[in-house]
Amino acid sequence: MPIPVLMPALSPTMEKGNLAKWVKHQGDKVKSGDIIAEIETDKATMEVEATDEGTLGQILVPEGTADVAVNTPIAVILGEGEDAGALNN
Amino acid sequence: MAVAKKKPAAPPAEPAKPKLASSVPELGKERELKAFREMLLIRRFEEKAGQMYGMGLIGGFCHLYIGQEAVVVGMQMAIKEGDQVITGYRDHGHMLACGMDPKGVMAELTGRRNGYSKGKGGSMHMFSVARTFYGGHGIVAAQVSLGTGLAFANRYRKNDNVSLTYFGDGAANQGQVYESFNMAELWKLPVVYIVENNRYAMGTSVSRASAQTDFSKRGASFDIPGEQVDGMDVRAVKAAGERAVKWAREGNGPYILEMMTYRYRGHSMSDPAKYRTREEVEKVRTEHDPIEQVRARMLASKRASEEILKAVDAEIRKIVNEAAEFATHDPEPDPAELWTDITR
Repeated sequence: MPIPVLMPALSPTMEKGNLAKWVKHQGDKVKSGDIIAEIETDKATMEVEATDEGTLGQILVPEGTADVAVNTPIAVILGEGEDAGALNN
Repeated sequence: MAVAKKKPAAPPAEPAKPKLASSVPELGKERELKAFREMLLIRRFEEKAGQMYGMGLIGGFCHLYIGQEAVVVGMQMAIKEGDQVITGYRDHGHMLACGMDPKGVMAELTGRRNGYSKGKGGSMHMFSVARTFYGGHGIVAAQVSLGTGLAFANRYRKNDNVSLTYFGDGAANQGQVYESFNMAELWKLPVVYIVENNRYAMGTSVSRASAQTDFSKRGASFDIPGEQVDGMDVRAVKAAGERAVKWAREGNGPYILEMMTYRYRGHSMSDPAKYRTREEVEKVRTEHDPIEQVRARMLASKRASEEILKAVDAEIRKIVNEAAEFATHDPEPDPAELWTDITR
């Protein structure tokens, strides 16, 4: 089943942030601990790590997007044996 | 007192260097798989905790143990039932290694009623007397005098238990550490002080904050023996742990183990960790990772197959997902609980 990557809260008070940069790109293999994106908060730029293993199937929020609410899906990771077709399910 | 000093395993400002396989005793198939499983449980649990923090399910402070897993897992392999463990606030790994229930730990992180402190303590404040885990302490270095007190109680009650007292390289510069060292050596208390040197006290590197960067020598003026250990190699940790615990249990007094380790994440969840380079983190992750070392060794020696290791990973993910599920749906504490478990 495709796994959504959510916009993380990087401090207890953060409600939204800017998607500064995608470090991984659509189709890239990712594993737990890989840095996939950079998020700008009101205080700092933080790195987002993958917590699942698979392929970065689709980027839902392009880099440079400002004010992305916490918990918004920003990308989808496809598990082993899944292809882009699984995204339609 | 004659003190057997060990040669330092690595220079203090550098990451722990891998030793030749021949210089470290092997764990054997079953123990190695057990170490792999326990380190992986901590790793996956902490990754999930980080994710849940990001979803707003965990509030307040949260300090992850990712990268340091071999230290606590190796030390647990060197002790016996009844020995005590106490640490600071980077404590989730210690709880899991002590055998505490991942559901209860995760539910405490999310502040729910079936958490270890009924949802009132959070990340820094969990105990389990049944698992001889004595916290979980929020005040930097406060656990060092408490851990020394546990050892004093062991001596007073004439049991043969040893207190494992963990603290970081930052806490090692606090005054009460040295008052504790003095009393521990004076009364020959059964305590092993474990300095988890992950090279940064919050954002300050050891070399910027410490006059003596070799923490294994910090007991020298009290005649407390110490050694530096490759804290990324679970075999080395266990071997050093056994030496230290034996020393303390036999009535020789305290012992210091400096674990050369590294944390991959920031000090806490809101630390962007700009005081070190991405390359530095990546180098440790690819060359010294405590879990990958064991995985590679087991595969190379055919002590475990890829299938077995994958099955362990799937089992661990299931345990962690169940803990997360439990911690998400368990109710919050009843407001009436606000007035319980407090001293008036």
